[in-house]
Amino acid sequence: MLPVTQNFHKSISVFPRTISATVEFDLVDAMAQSNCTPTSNSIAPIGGVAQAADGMTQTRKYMSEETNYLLLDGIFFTPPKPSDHVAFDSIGWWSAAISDQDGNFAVAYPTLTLTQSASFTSLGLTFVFSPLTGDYCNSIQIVTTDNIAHQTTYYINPTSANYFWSQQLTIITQVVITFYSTNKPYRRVHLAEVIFGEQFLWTGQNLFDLDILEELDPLCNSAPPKEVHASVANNLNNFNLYLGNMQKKQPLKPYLNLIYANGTSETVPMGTFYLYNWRNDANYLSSTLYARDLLDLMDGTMFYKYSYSGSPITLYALAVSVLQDFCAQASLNVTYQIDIALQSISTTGVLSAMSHHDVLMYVAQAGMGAVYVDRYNVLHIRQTVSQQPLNPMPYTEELTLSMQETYPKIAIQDPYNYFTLNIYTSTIASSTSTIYSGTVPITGQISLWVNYTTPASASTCVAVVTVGTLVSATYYTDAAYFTISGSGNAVITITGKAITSTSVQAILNNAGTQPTNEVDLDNPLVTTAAMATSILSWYAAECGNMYLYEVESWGDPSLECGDVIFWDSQYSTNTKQAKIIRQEFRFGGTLSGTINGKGW
Amino acid sequence: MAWQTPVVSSAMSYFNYADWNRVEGNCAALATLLQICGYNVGLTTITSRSDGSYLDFYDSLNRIEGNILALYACYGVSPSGWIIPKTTWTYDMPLSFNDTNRMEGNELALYNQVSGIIQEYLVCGQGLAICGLGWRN
Repeated sequence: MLPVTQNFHKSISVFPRTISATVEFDLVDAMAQSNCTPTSNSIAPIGGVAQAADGMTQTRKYMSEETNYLLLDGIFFTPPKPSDHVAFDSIGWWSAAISDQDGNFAVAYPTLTLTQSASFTSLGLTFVFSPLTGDYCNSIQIVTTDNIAHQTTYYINPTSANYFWSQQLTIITQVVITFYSTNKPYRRVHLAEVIFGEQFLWTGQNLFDLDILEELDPLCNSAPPKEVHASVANNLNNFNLYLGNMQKKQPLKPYLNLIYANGTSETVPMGTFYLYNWRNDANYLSSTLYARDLLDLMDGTMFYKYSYSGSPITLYALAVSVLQDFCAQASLNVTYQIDIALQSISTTGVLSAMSHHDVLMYVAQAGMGAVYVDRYNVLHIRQTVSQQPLNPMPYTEELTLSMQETYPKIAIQDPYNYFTLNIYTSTIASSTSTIYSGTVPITGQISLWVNYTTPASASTCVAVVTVGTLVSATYYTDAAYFTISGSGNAVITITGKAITSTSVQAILNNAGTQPTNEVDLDNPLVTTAAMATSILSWYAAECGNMYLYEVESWGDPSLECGDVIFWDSQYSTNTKQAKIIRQEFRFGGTLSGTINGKGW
Repeated sequence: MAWQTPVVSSAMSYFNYADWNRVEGNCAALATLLQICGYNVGLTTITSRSDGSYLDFYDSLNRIEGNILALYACYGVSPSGWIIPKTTWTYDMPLSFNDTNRMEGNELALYNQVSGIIQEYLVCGQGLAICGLGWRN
């Protein structure tokens, strides 16, 4: 459950309620963002200068002592310290320096330097100052340095807290931004984010429709990504103009805002999604954007770099290596939290080359948990416990009948009572054999991954290349990375000591005198009987939750999949509990939703 | 530190560095008053915020409300208008006029109590309400 205020918790289920939605779409060079290292000469001990380019914007107003800043209306929050390492919000960079009564900074002016590890080209920069409080800097100098050390100086005068500076920037390696003044007196620089491109915001009448789907499989047989569809006004024809820049992992972030009677509002983030498709409607007045979360990106990249040695590796260490490899491949910074319980579970399993998504699913299931991405774009691998909420629940939540548009549909699932799981043992052959033979057309020099026909001990692998020259080779358990030069059809032959795996079956039989209803599990990371026993017990306990709920409700965006709530029905109130496994939010001026749970 | 008249805030009030200084300064003023009554309350107070550049986090709120609680604990008798202070502040909690009014209201209640006690100190060495004479009158 998201950490919302008591007021939000009370007001979300009270009629009448007013909800608005915002969709933020960053038409950005995502790689420029991950290649950026921000530094400053003036840093307040809040947030962090690195947060100025982390791709996240601030969702809360935080108290500060600047004159006439902290309004006591109850929607300014106590800020986290940098040492609290919170993941739920990104405050950004606040300068230590404060402007004077006219809003001017004294020398040395606060400066933000963006140093790029690789050059970028963009249509400009978006400065997200402090849209929540309306604070921004209205006089700025920008000095760009390109790849041949040519410097260009610009002076700009932003006019809003969310300001797009439209300027073609080509092959830029460094940007130095100097802030001269603020739009209000006695203010720091409040800069939540610098975006390498343009940020679009749709809200009110420009946002026609917003659908968000969240799913969670507590047993990690699947790890579906969250998905969003947003139909937005395209009367400016933006999506024709930027056609060439689309579909490059641009982030899309929907928010839902609960508006209180006094006109103030509280914003709930609905997640960070990455665009995978878009289409213009027939009249070209609206466009629909389709986006999924990080797990979908992870399904499109491959984890080849697993090296089996026969020595145990902890699931935690394996997960970290998978995530680091994904970050390198996708050029994305991923924030993650892995359950420390996975530090005490080890495996000697053999992993084939597979998507990062699938490896993490195996890791999570072997660790008796689930893998999911939260609303703050943090990837979690967390142990799940039957009948326990996955996330902290600051409030006891009850889905009252007044929140439901019909009585809930309740079904009883046939209980599984017979569980099997394979336990793998692997051995390295005593002699070498051919594990790959294939032909690759080459012109000049190419690099490529080659998948073996069978896993092999990496240290024993040797490749022979004919019709071409082998420049370099790195071997892993199920794949090798080659750089080959030459011309023609290169023939690659790899020999190595193959790894063979055998398995025995662990069984948990809870059927008693009942007919068996069997479920068979298979996970290559399960390599000990003790591990199998724990997993089967965990799996069976979760399968004991047989009641399936489906409710058409008003929708409470503070609820997350994995939360345990009371589901009221015509039969009972505040009695039956279930874990949320699926939520669909539909916003089209008003909010409604379908919510599914699995309960006991 | 001289006592300053507490301010009653509303949802439309701003809470500036001078307000933080007043709330903390009044804790120090109350501690000075209580010294007259024989209580030596050691408090940490910050009253040097001068231009809004100081940043207060949740531990400032815990310190302020903890100080108020420590001042209250000298007599341990709830004055009129007393509200139990909140000393469980952490990050991501909303701060509203209810909170600042609680702090300032508690300080005013303690100030009235301790000032009264000092007036009556000559009679019984305590506040009359505390030693019982007040009840007899």
